[in-house]
Amino acid sequence: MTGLSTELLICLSYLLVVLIVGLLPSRQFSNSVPGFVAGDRSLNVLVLYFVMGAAIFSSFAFLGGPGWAYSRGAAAFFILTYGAFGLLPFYFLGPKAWRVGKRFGFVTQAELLGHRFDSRLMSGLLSVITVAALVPYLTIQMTGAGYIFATVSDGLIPEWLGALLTYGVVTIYVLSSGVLGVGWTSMLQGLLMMVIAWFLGLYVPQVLYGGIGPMFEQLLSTGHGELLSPPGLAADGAPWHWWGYSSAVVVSVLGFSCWPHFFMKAFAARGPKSIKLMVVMYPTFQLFIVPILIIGFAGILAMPGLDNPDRILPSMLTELQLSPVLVGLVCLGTLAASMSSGDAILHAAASVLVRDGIGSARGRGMTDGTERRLIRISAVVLGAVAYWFAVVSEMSLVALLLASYGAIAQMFPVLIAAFYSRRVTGAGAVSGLAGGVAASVLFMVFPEWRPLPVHEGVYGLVANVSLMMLVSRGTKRLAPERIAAYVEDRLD
Amino acid sequence: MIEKGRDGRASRRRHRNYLVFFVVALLALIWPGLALVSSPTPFVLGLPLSLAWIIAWLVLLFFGLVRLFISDIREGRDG
Repeated sequence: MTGLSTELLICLSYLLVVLIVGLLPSRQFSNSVPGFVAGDRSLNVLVLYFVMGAAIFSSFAFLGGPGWAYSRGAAAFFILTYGAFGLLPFYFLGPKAWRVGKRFGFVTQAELLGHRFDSRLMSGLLSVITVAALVPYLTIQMTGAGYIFATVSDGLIPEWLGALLTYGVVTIYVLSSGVLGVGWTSMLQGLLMMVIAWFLGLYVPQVLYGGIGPMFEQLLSTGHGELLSPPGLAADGAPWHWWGYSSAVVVSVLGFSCWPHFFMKAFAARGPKSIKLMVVMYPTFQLFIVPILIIGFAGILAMPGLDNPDRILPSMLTELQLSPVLVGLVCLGTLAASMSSGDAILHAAASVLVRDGIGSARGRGMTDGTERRLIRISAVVLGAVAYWFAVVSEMSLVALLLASYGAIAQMFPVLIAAFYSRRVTGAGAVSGLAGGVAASVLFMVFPEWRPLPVHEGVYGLVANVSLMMLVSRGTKRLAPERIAAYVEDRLD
Repeated sequence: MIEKGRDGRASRRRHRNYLVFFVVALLALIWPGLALVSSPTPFVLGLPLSLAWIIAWLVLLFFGLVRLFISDIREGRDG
């Protein structure tokens, strides 16, 4: 009982620390929409690095990541690859977005693309895709936090209360400090996640096998060679196909920087140099997925036959009988991963819903104060909807989340067209995006219709680019002066 | 900022070379590159060959990005 109390105490104290850190910058930005949403374009490279790093590693990192390595072996290397390459397009797109953002006052990518293609439909469509993709993502973060509290308190704090406590804290600092609250807490949470992951990735194989090398040797000598050979196993346990592995990497790389809660940080950055340097440094954060995967591999021989692979890390912690302080720290790492993604998602979804969804439906005309108030109300409402899905609804959101990966990647051709093409018209861009999302969702729902076993997002991208080019040929070009601000005679 | 003339062309060519490097690095980590080293053995520093290969390319990618960034700064492009 004493042990449980220590772990619970660590987690509760951590929530308090995060709350304080999140509230600190509440007076450090202007009382305006650009202040709340983009921190007055003031984020330096260090804050950007941790915001992006910590937002990317959600509760999936500590629960799903080891689960993939445990159940699908080398298939999990896909996470390492797409994460490292995922921000590359941002090196070129980020500075361009920053420049037009500063010039026209944009704080969301839907706003940028709506203006570029002179289309309110574009803004509206993007806001629908954004909210549909981010709400299930947020729900999964809440479920992760609830699970951690239920585990450390041995059921004393049920999952619904754990999720409520954690996201109560997140909502409070997002409402009061906006993107700066997300930034400051991400530095703390990102650093903690890195330290805890590296510690576990080295410690667990050492205790169980005498080191990482001996662990892999034992896996090989006990007939688990297929788990160490890419592309590893598919979700059903059969060998994964190279088509599936490679296309999943490519679609994820293209879609990665298009996620609104990442892309919007281009508008929050201090300048193009901060954005570029953040992308350069980013692979160093990504290396932290290596120990995460090693934890999963360590479980293959130590805990065979686990029903839910996502529970491999908590199950091993119990098995190893670590000191309660260490278990508490690991749970804290998972909480940090959940919160540092959840806060960015909540902030982005609320900003996009109001700025682009409601804004484009009303045709602008809100005062700054009304807009800020609406964004805060939306954050609470969206948080409540995600929470409802997490604790009340029986509906599985995994399918919706999976569908959103293919759908988000469809923003990539539109962003490329925005900055590199003078020929693509508003109607072309909107039809490409809508057709791409439709094709991607269709092939996800009916995988048997795919001519090749590649990721559904690839079919979406083919439909997207084809429609974009075809419709652009038949529609009137945009005014050159509108395009001039976006398409420059340079790559970055 | 529109760049014209020889400097602009050289700069674009340089960026295109880096893009080619990034695409080659990506192909090394999916099919066909990764398929060439998909055997777990020989172990490299205790890691299966494929994992060591991926980490080595990520290190290369990092240094490639550092070089690109430095050359951009030298050219006076803050972005």
